[in-house]
Parts: sequence; structure tokens; C-alpha cells
Amino acid sequence: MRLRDLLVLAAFLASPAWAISPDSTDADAIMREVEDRDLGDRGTSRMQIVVTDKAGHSRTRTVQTRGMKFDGGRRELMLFDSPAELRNAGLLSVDFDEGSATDDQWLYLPSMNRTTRIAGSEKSSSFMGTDLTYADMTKADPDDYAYTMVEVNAEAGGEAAWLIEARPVTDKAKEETGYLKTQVWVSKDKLVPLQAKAWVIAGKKLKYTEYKNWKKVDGVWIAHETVVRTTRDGALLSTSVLTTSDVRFGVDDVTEADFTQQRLERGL
Amino acid sequence: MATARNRFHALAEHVLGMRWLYLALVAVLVVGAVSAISTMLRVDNSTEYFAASDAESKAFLDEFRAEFGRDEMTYVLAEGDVFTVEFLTQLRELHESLERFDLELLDAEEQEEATATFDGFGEDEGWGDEAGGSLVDKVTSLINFRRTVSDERGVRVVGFMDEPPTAEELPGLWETAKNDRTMLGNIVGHGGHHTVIAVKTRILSERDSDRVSVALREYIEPYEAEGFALSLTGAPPMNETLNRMVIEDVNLLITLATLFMIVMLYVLFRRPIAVIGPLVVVSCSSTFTMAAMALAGAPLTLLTNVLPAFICCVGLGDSIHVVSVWRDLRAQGLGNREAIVEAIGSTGTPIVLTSLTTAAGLASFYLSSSQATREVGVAGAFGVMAAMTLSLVLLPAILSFARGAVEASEPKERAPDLTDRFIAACTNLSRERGPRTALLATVLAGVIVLFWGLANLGVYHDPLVWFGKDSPVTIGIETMDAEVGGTAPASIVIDAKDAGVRDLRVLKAMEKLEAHILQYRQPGTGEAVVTNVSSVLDVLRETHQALKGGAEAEYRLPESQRGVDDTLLVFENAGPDELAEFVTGDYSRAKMVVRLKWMDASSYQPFAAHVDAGVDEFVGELAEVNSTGTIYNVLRVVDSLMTDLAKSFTGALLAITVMMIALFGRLKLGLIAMLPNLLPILFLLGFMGLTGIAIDFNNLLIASIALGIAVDDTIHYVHQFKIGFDRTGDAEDAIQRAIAHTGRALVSTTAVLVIGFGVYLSSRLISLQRFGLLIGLACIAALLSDLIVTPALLRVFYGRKSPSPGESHASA
Repeated sequence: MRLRDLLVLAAFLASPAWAISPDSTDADAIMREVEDRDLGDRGTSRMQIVVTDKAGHSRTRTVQTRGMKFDGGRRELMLFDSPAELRNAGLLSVDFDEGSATDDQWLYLPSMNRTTRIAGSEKSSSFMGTDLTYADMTKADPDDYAYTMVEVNAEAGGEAAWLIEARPVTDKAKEETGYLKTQVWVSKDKLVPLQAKAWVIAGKKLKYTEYKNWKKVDGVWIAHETVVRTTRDGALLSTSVLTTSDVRFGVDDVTEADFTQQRLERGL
Repeated sequence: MATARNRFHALAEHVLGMRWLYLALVAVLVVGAVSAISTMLRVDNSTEYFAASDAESKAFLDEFRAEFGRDEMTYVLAEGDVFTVEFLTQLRELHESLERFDLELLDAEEQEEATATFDGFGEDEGWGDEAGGSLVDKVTSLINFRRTVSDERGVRVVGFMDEPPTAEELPGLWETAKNDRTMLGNIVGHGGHHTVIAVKTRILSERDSDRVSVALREYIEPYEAEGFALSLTGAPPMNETLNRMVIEDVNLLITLATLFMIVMLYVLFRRPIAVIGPLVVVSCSSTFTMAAMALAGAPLTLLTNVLPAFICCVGLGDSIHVVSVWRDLRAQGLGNREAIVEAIGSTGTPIVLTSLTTAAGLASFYLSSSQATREVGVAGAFGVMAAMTLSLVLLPAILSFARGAVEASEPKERAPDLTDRFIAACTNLSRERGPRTALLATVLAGVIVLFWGLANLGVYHDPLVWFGKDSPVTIGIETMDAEVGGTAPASIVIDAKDAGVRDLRVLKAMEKLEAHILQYRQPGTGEAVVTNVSSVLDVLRETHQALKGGAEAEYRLPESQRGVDDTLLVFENAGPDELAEFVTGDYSRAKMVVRLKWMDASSYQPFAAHVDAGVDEFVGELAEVNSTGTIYNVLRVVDSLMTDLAKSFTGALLAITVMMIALFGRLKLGLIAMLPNLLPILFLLGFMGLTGIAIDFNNLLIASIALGIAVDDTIHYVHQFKIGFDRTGDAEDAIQRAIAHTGRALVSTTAVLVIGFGVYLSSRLISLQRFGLLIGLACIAALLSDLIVTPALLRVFYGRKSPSPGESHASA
């Protein structure tokens, strides 16, 4: 058995699913397990992002990603594959677990043939123009939220689930998410969010997120499709579909050297 | 005095036989109508509603809003020493508070088509009862004004004052703002004494928009302090004030019209039933008209708010005819029932005919290109017909309750009074050939002068003028215009479908167009009325500048296409929400927002032409360019005014002429009868042209309404002439007969109308005051035309068989 397999087995045995009973009504404990779940390390994937506005105009981006944990956070490299005009541009980001607003990004711009540091966006602002915010893309700190069990025996996507309501209680969380509250359907089987409904304060919008097409990749549950729809009073304002493919974890050639400016500038 | 029995006699008998049924029916209808008015009647005075609406422009506006949201902003104007710690602390507090502003909307779901239904999210109650959301989409002020900066932390999109500045930092910030063309004269005033907080809400119904403006005005009040004066301005608060004044004016005009009617009816008849009957008729007519509008979804506007008082005036005429005859017959000793039947029998035909002509005058507005104008035409015609029906049905039922004998109110033989002498003098002006020729020559000369005035008739549309100079609305808009950028927005949409607006060629063309627009100077005054232009170009230039280290010279577009793509990628990541305000998600369309100073609508025409010329010169085939927004709406209003006036007036003229010919059974008499009716209209429009009163939305209606009213008098007059002429073949005798039968009635109905429309002078809206004045003048001109010109024409075309010099029948 290789070291990687041992790690995967260890991760499985330590899986939170064993720690929480399906009948549990402890929303806080469930959400802590969800937030603490393993998101994989030294991973590579391919992601297609399609954003469609209310009028039906769509924009598609395809990126190749590499991710790696480090002590206190996570690094991510995204290299643009398409559209052609953006090919070889890249984004290197560092996300600190502490959720500091100073998370940083470096963007390689081929036209200038140099890397530019762009300051981390406000967490409540849109991730690459999608319906997701940077806060949606990063782990939430359970201490910033008050969780309430809404329904123990809920169902989502054909799976048994807990329906839990999360309200930000700290100013930091309120500001970062821009949400009044979120309802999350948590899979009892996988301890992952299956879907979520968020109440967006600005403009009183609702955001519906579905995490679909779950597959276990190298011991890590990964949603291969994320669909986010923003609505107001029943009208669809925008939709984002993020499709992930070719997911792998524990990739040997994902190393510290991948998360440097030199690698960013080398492109695909 | 009994007339030959006709259908109206039968109708009156039928009504009297079932009076309780009819009274109950009307009572039920009134209850239903009041309920419809109180629950369904809305108010809408937005420029969009008044603008001529064709399917294409409406579709474009819907598409524009779907892509870029609401284009009309509400501004909180703050005055004081802006760059002081105290001021900015108060500004920040207000800014943050406005981001939390909320109000429960009444029509939220009607504004956006429900397109999103998701399974699996439980019973979806939308936002539900949750407190804490805000209906505000975005608040922009000095606090968060977008700036792309480059510093040791990299390229960042930041707010101008994300962190509260210290006193030491303030001079530097003021310096930065003064040197930033996107800030000075846009978000902060040139002298540093004014700044604005722009509040962008979702798209709202007119009702909700008004409620939001009212709530916002109250909401900002507690934040006002010495050295921090606040006012709410922009198109939405202006519309709210207008809508509120319209409702207040309707109530005022109805109250005054009612008082006027009570006095008038009492003076005329001195019997309670003769006051109550007509009063109930016109009140019900107005109520039914408003209810019909509510049921049809037509809002109360600046145009339709004249209707209740108008229907009162016109409806009163019908009732006065009936009650007058009824009173005389009762005085002659007839029983109440017989008097009612005879009164309806003898007045039914003229009431129907005059109502039809007035209704035709109003219905002609159906030919107009603006929905608001079409609605006032249809609603007005409905009201006139309702007044006619109720005069013939409800009034006899009410009169049937009259008790007691009626004494003759006037002696049968009396000495000529001032009115009689005036009528006789007018009529006799054309009695002899010499004076007649001189009279007609004078009229002809007057006509020529009036045509010259007509040729100078201009168009004008400026809702701001309706408030008056001292109104807070006017002051707010003028202050904003002078200090922090224009309040009138125009949105220019560049659609570069294939290439996309990220194409450098398209962007360069947009940049040239932008420079061209900024160079615009208002003809005549040379004033720079364009205060600022914002678009994706700003985003690109400031991001490029930041990427190049912030040097002033780098505030420009990238030189290569790849440079543009990369720069946009930076912004997509650093400020995607800001980018979405200017371009669609697929970069196929870009929005260029031009802010102009507030002017009357016609004054924007040269600007629109300037933009069109720039589009032709710089954009050409690269992209399709369309424009929308407030100024284009008001432009469509003025563009349609003259054609609408011509179309509706021609329609009314044709319809009424056909009616006249049909009524009199002779082409010649019908055409002659129309001539005196054209004179007051020519007088009205020529007078407006000579005195510089332009055609606007309010007086657009006057010509056709005046024609409808003027024809009423002529019908009575010529009808009597025809009877007399048919009987004797003597024109002079027929003229004297006509004057004897109708002269005093013409004067008194004109007096009723002039005084009745005089109530408009009490309106707070200048437009309504002017409406009352002009229509009053038109009524007087119509009277003089009927008394002077009609007999002159009849004498010319029908000759005199047996003149009786020196004899006057006018007082007979």
C-alpha cells in the first residue's frame, strides 16, 4: 500500500460521517464537521465557468487548476485555457484560513509579460464575475455563525439530509458574506452541503446553490457541478454553472514550485 | 310648449316607473366604483409613461433594464464643508445606514416576471418575513467611490474612503478628488461644498417608487445637522412630488368644482332638489370614470386629473338643460311627472348630440402615439357619455322626489338686460352689408395674424416648470446640476455583437464618441450641459493606469487587443460587480451613461443630433448604437406632441363635421356651422404662438376639448336657425329666432364653463393653472364666434328675404 492510499484510508476512518449520528439534532456539531471536512490536497482539475445574465448573455471561461495546502491556508493556481484571448493568463491566489481580507492574488498578464499583484477582493464580492462570492469559495469559521436545526429529516437531491440554518453573528462574517442567513441541506451520508439557499441583504435577493454530481475522488467527496442561481421575487437574475472535471488529488507533481510567479508566467 | 313625442319621453316614463330600481342600481355601481378607485387606481407621471410608446422602443427599454437595471437614480444631496472630519463622519454614517434601508414593496412581484422555480428547496416563500434585507441594490458616495489604485499591496479596486480619513489626510483627498475627472462635478461639487449619495434600487412600480421616495425623505431627516444639510433629489423623488400634487389637486379641484356647482345651481334654480339632482349626476359620472380607469389599469396622470372637474363642467350643462325645462314646465303648472317626461323629451336629442360631439373631441386622442394621451381621450369620452346617460336616467328619478308647487321664477315679459343688449349688439354687427363686410374683413385679418401665430407655435415639455421656481424639487435639481453633475441621464448602448465591445477598434470608437459628447455645447448659450460620461472606458483607463504604476500619462486605453483583454481580466477579478454596471456578461453590449443638466425637452434635441452625428462619424458599421433614458423619453414626448395635436385635432374635426352635416341634413349648413367653431381653436393656438406659450402635455388637449365644447353651442344655435329657416325661408327671421331661443343659454353656459374651469387656477401645478386659463379663453372666443361670426356667415350664405331694419328680436 502506497503512502497516499494509507493517507486516504486514514482520512476515511477519520471521516466525520462516523462521528455524527443521522438522528443528530446538533446543528453546530454537524456544521463544524462539514467545514472541517477534507477538501483534498495537491489536487489538479479542470473547471468550466459559464455565467449567464438575466438577458441570457453567457460568458464561458475554462481554467486548469492546481491546489495545495500549506500551514495556515491554501494556495491555488488557475491557468486560463479558453477563451483564446485569455489563454495563458493565470491567477495565483493565497487563501489564509484566518479569513483575512488581505488574501492575495497574483495575475499574470501576457500582454505585459509580467505578473501583477492584485489585492484580494472583498470576500462578499463576486468570484470571477460568477454568482459565487469569494466567501462562498472558502471555508467558513463556525465560530462566526449561529446554527439552528430546521429539519432533521429533510431531503435534497434524493439524499437524506439535515436542513440547517446559519446566521452570521459576527460583523466580520456579516460583512464578508453579505448574507442575512443561509439554509444548508447537509448530506447525512457524506456530510457535505448538497444545496443552499442564501438571503442576500443588498437588493433582497435569494441565491440558490446546488452542489451536484458528487463523486469520491481519492477519498474526497467532490461536487463536479455547482449551479448557482440568483433570484429576486421569483425572477431569475443570473445563473452560474461551474463544472469540474479531471479531478485528482495527491498528485505527485503538484509541488510548492507550482505556486510561484515563475510557474504562473510559464502558462499552460 | 310640448314637443312631439319621441323616444326620450318613453325613456323618462320608463325610468319613473322603475325609479327605485334605477336608484338602487346606481347606488350599487357607486359602491363598486368607490371600491375600485380606492383599491386599484394608481398614479403615474413618469416621463416613460408620457413618452410615445412603440413596441420597438419598449422592447429595447425592457432589454436594457434586464441587462443594466434601473437607470434612474435617487440622490441624497449633502451640503456643507465636505472635506472635514465631521462632515465625512456624518456622510459615512448616512451611507452605511442607506445600505440597510428597506421598505416592504406592494408590487414587487409584478415588476419582474417570475422565471425561477426550483424543486427541492422546500416551500419557497421568497424572502419571507425576514427583516434585515435592503431593497437598495447599491449606494455610491465619496465613501465607496470606485478607484483603481496601484500601491505596495498591488492593483486594487478600492473605495475612495474605505477607511475614515484623518484630518491630516483630508487636504490630500480633496486634491485627489479635484484632479479626478470622474469625481469632480460628479460625486463632489467644484467648490467642495456639495456631495451626493446615489441610491440605486431595483426596478420599482410607480406606486412603490413613490413610497420609497417618501420613506427615504423621512429616513434621511434625522441625519441632518448643522453643516450637513440634506435633500432628496433626482427623477424618482421629483415624480413622487408630482404624483402627490396631482392627487392633492384632484381633491382640491373636485371640492371647488362641487362648491361652484352648488352655488351655480342654487343661483339658477333656488330649489334643493335642483341642486342635489345635477350634483349627484356629475359626481356619479366622475366616480364612474375614475373607476373605469382603475379597472382598465389606466393611472391617474397630469392629464387625467383634469377629468373630474372637466366632467363636472360638461355634465352640469346637460343637467342644467333638463332642470331648466323641468322648472319652467312646473312653473307653467304642469304636474311633476309630466314636467319631467316633457323635460327629458325636449332636451334628450340636444343632450345626446352635444355629448356625442364633446366625446368625439376627446376620443380623437385615441389617435395619439402616447398611451397617457390615449387614455385621457377614452376616459374623457366615457365620462361625457356617463354624464349624458345619468342626466337622462338618474336625474329624472331624483327629480321625481320633488315636492310642492313651483312658482314662476321669471316674468314672461321683461325688459332687456345687459346680457340681452350684449347679445343683440353682437348679432346685429353683421346685419347690414357694409358693417358685415367690414366685420368679415376684420375677422379675416385676425385669422391671418392668428395663422402667423400658429406658425410660431412651439413645443415644450419640462415637468420641472410645473412645480414653480421656489419648489424644493426645482431647487434640489438646479443645485445638483450646478454642483455635482446633471440630473438628466441618457444611456447610450453600444451593441457590437460579433466583435464584442472588448474589441479595441470598438473601444477606440467609443472613446472618440465620448470625447465628441463631452465637447458638446448647447446652441445659443454655449453652455457645457454634459456634466460627465461614464462607461467601461473609465474602468479600462484607470486599470491600465494602475497596472502601469499610476502615472497620469497612463490614464488611457491599452495599446493592443491583448492588453485590453488582460486589463479586463484584472478588473473581472478585482471589481466584477462594477464591471457588470457597464457591460453585459458576454461583452456584447456596453452602456455609456451621459449625465446632462436638466432642461426642457426640446433643448435636448440638438444634443441627440450631436450624439447621432458622433455615432455616424466614429462608430459607423462597427456597432449598433441605441439610446434610452430620461432625456430620450422626454424627447419622444416632444417629438410626438405636434403630430399628436395634428392627428387628434384632425380626427375630432372630421368626426364633428360629419356629425354636424348628419345632424342638419345639409352639407352646406353643416360646413358653415363648423367655421365658427374653428375660429376659437385658431384663436387659442394663434394666441399661444403669439404669446410664446408652447404646446405641452397639458395644453395639447385644449384644442380638441375646446372644439367639442364650442360645437355644443353651435348645435343649439344652428338647430334653431334651421327650424326657423325651414319654416319661413327667411334667414334674418331664423337668426333672430335662434338668438331668442339660445342667446342667453349660450352666455350662461359659457359663464358656467369659464368659472368652472377657473377652479384650475387654484391648482398648485402651473400647468393646470394654464390649462384653466386657456380653456376659459377658448370658451369666451367660442361664444363671441357664435354670437358674431355665425350670424354673419348665415346672412352671407342664406341671404335675407325680408329684412326688418331697426328691429331687434334678440331680447324676445
